[in-house]
Amino acid sequence: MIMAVLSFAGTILLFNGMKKVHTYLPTPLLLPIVTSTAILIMVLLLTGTAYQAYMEGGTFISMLLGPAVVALAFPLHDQWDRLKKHILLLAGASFAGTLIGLFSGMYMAILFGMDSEIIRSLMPKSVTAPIAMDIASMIHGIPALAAVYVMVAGISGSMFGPFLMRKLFIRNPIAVGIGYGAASHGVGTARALEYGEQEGAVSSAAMTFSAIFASLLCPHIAALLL
Amino acid sequence: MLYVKIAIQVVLLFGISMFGMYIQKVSHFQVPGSMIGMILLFCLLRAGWMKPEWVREGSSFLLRNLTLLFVPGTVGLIQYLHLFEGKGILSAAAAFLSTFLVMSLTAWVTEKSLKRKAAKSRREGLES
Repeated sequence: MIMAVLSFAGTILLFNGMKKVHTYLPTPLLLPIVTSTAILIMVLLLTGTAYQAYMEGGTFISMLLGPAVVALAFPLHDQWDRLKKHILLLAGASFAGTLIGLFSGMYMAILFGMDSEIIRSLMPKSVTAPIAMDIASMIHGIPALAAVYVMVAGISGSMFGPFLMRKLFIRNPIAVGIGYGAASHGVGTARALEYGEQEGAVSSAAMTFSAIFASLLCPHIAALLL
Repeated sequence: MLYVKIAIQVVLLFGISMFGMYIQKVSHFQVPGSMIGMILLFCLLRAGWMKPEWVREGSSFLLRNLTLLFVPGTVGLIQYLHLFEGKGILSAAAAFLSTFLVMSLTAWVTEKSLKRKAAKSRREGLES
């Protein structure tokens, strides 16, 4: 009981503290998700606490992921009038992005000689964490590991994104939004919002499309693995 | 008062997500239940059967704090630290490179096709 309260409140307080740190020093390496996770893992290792004990309280935070995914319907509805003009382009580009992400991730992991459970956890990395975790468990990967690759995709995308857009001369808000949303889900969408509202809306739509396509395609592509 | 409103709306969203999971279970759809719930809510909002005001504060609250909700899950990495010893670290490199590919290709192709579209409509404008 004490443990549950401690890990619940501790996670929230720590995360808010790390958010403050990131506003003072806004580098991608100090993203609150990175620092909070690293600190919590260190605390658990140093105190010899089992993950299961931590999750007695942590579970009350992660159980909100389901409703949070449902909540994505709201901005999509809100921005619909601006989005529907480009809906085919958005859907097509997200579909292509999902295919590229799934196959390139899978084949690179095979090339690097990774185990099957790692490959299966890596495949859904381009979509938002709650869905990637669901997909991973559907295709017999490890949900927690999937969440780690999702963070790699999100953080790396928001790190090299501005550089990439500059080098490839990508200036159209729709193209910028699709790039961030399809490759780097929610973390990328937060970055796209820094460009402007339209980039942000396009990015969240692209992230939603990618999530739908990934959950439809992943089980079939994973079946190629055996 | 605002917090009561948020709490009630989050419970409503929670219910929709549970309903999505139930649909997933009975239909054996290969789509996560929460995603089914999202599509359902989107359709209800579009159809006007649900008012945006019923979920506005609750969804903004959840999406504002979305990153926090991932934390307990990513701490689960602690159980798999051994996988990142030695060549396991290459899997992170694969995730990195694949993300780079996805972002550059989708953004570049979209930029090109929008340019082509704009050029085409300009040409047609001149002819007419």
